[in-house]
Amino acid sequence: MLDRLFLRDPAGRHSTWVLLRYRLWSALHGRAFYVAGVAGLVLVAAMLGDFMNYLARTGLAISQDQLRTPLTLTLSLAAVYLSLSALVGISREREQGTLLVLSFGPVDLWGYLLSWQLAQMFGYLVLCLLLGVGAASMAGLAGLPLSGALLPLLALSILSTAGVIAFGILIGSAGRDLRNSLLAFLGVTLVLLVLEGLDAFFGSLQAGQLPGAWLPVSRTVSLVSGALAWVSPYSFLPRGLAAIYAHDWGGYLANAAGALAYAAILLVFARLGAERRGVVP
Amino acid sequence: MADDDVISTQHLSKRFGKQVAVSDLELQVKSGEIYGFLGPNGAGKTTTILLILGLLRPDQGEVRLFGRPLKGNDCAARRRVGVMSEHPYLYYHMTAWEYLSLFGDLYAVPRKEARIAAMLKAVDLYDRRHSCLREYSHGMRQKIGLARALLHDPELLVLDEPTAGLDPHGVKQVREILLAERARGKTILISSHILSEVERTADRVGVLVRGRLQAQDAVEALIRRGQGETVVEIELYRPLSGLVARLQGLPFVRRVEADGPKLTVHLPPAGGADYHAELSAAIGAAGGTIVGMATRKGSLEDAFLTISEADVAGWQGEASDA
Repeated sequence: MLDRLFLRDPAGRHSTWVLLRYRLWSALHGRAFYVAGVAGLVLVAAMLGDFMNYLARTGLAISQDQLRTPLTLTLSLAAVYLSLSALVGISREREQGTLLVLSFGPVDLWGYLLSWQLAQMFGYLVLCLLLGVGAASMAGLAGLPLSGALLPLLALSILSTAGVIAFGILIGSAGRDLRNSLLAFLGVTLVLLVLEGLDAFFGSLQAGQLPGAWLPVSRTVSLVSGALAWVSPYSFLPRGLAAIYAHDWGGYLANAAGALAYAAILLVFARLGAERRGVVP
Repeated sequence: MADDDVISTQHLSKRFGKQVAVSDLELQVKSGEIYGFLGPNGAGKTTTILLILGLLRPDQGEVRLFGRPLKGNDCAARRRVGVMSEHPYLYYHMTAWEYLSLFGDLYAVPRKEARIAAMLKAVDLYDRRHSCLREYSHGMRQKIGLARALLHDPELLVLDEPTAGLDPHGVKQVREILLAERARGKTILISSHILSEVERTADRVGVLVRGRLQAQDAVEALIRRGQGETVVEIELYRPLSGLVARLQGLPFVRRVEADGPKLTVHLPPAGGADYHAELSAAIGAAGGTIVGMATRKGSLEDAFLTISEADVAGWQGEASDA
């Protein structure tokens, strides 16, 4: 298994590379990828517009780095989009029988799943550059100060996306069909978001504002949310981006290594799930 | 198991829940032959093919491919096999050229462009190479599936219903391709319902019924074995009264049917003997004049029906005994 995980077989490496090229080619020739990029830019523009209005009205700048929040949000959404598109792609390939035809040939499940992982990570890099250039241009037009190292810094976040992308691959591989996989993905995402929201809400309350009966609930939510922050696929990218913005390279490397290890574990489970489901439509 | 077996299975069994899909299967496909794999719907043919390719794990038994035991996910062995499934399962957003190009890359086909062009010409789709596969008819999609299976020049071809949905020209084209591949020394396993095609192309045939291999033999031998009786058709110059009763009295005649001057004489399976001389003598002695006499040739379809119906009858007997 480890031989296959590290693709020591040259034929396995070759087919993974071919599939990776094919997936990138398909993504870059499809509309969805660019629609996602433009939607991200619209979101960045809306948030920058809000900031400019606030600045004009009050003369106060909320933050030194006005691009940080919009870019963190849009890049996180871009990673979720790529994770979902891997899930849909894998489920569809199994349902439509094309995974079976690939399996007739020199493609094994490791190579197949790894090609999805790498293609989506490269797709993130392209989206990252698109959003970074777009956001920097908007900031430049608005006369906001810019760091020259913005794009290379954003590109570094590619490693932090590994976890969230592997999560989509896992659900797509192990799910019974596309509908069930989507429901599972959205269900887990919703639970994580609700927990994070509740934690933020309880955390924002001042002492004495929370009725005594709610204190155990608040503590439990805080504990669960804190624990989930370490296992949630969504936690790595914001942490990685925060480390990049803060130039905390030790933190960045630790987070990237964690994301890669997390992705490797999810891919092992994805492989087992895909094997259990089989390749026959 | 012989040394020249490209595919061999030993005691191969697979169940899905309580349903037995394949049971104690001993299949041998020899190098350089076309092997027809026949069976009624649900007999377990596709399951067997998936087991042979290592895409399903057997509950019991072993598959040997190219003389070596097949390990779970043996990509190296699968690279030597070209597979065409019953449904072509294509990437419909691609053109034929793009689709074959992807598989040419996956198999690292040398001189890929020339090989793709040759394959598209062989299946008569070269002029449509830049059309999207979504626009192809069912028959054209089948042909693209065959072109993909042949693209990397595999040693073994495994074809599940290769002529399903093809027009007569397409059927002829596929037959010619398969015969040409055999002439080049390739081994071919065809699973098909179109028995006349299998009869024309296959060297040996296996009949699978309810997951069990009921017969495995050369086509001619199987036809002989499957014939329940020999049927001789006789045409007389004119009808002759009392002849039917006279022929019926012969010790080797089972039954005689008369339709004007035409007689159909049913004889026991004789392993080559057709009793033409004895029948001629009996008709001549009765004053009849024979215009024509021929033994009706058995077909693979007759043999298949005899073998598969015998099994179903046996199974019904077992069920009622239980």
